[in-house]
Amino acid sequence: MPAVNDEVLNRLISENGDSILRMCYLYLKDYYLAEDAMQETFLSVYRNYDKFEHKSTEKTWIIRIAMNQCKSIMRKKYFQMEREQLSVDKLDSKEITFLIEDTFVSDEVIKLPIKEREVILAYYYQELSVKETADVLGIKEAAVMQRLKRGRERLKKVLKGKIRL
Amino acid sequence: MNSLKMAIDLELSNMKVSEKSINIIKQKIDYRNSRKMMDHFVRVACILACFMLGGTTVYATGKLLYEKIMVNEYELLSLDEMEVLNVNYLEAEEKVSNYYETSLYNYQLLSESLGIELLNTKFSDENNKMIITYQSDNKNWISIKTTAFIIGDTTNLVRVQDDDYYYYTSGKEFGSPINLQIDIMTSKEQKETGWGRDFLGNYESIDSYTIDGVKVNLLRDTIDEKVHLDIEKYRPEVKAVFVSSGIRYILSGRISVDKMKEIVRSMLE
Repeated sequence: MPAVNDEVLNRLISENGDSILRMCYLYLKDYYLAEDAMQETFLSVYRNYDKFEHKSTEKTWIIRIAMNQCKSIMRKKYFQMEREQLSVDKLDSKEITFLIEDTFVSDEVIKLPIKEREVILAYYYQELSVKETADVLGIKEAAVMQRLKRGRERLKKVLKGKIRL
Repeated sequence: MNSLKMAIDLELSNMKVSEKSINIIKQKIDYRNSRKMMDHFVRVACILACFMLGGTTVYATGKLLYEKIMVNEYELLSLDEMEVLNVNYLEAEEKVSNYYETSLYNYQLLSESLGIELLNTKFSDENNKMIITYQSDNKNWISIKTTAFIIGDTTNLVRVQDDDYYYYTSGKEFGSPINLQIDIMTSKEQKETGWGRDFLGNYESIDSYTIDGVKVNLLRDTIDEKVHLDIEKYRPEVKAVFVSSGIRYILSGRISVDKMKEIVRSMLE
């Protein structure tokens, strides 16, 4: 039985839930899939908490699990092709419009190619270090730097100084 | 000027984890815990029955409960038992603490390096597109993902940079390459803990059968049908799960059920 109780689970969700949900949304471009990914993330956290050795922070560990959940969904080819081809405007159903009004910055992040987007989400949105980002994504630090540079350049071009990068 | 994080949090401030979501997570946890408790009682009952009857068959039934294959939290036909195997751990990079990973590109070499004979098939034909990702904790388990184990009549395979994923053009018979997942237990502790696989949400069980004494579960994905825009051309993913010589194999690909059965047969015969 995993060594996590309701109290710990509530704390983990309270501290990380919203940012994980938003990250999954920006990663998957779909609110309902993001909810699924978030739920599966915390289910996995519950089941594996006893194996977590606290050599990284809880936050980094949870982000890694969430990123893997998103990747798992993204790996379905149909999903990747169709989601990447759809414009942001077509993605938001009426039911969730109230959740995502006036999303100029988020929309530009969503438009980034996935390799740049996931690095931008880990580094800028989740505020991980380059090393932590590399660990979470299972890539080399040099690759993180390279993708960050490309992503930052794209964002700077479209956000035109409205956001600090 | 706002940081990117502040801007996103501001824009998506209404997007929060709902009470409903938290309840769903807790319901799933409760459900799994109750299943575990139930399995524990069943296991104890089987072992008790074993002592009472002294029969090997009943004892075997008790042991079979360890490795479960679940689809949407429903347990499928129990597979043959996974065994603790004495294999060589491969040289691999420690990605995080006690988690090692490396890549290979030759199935035969993988088999030789592990020091065990892995099942192969004529359909695989050692194609040069295979990407083998080896993962282990170097203590309890080894998990091997072989991407494009069989490419069949798919064409134009282009690897996604830095990833074990291909873009491809579907063939007439193979809607996608076939991937192979191999799970190996390497410790008694892992054996005692068990190693279930739960295909959550996206799959339905379509067949369970036995071939040459090996039990096979066949699953098919369902979620794609609901969202795929071009249903006419759509081919669902089929998975075959079986345990042979104590090793669990999971084949996945967009092919017909009959073709998947043919591939399984070619591996087991």
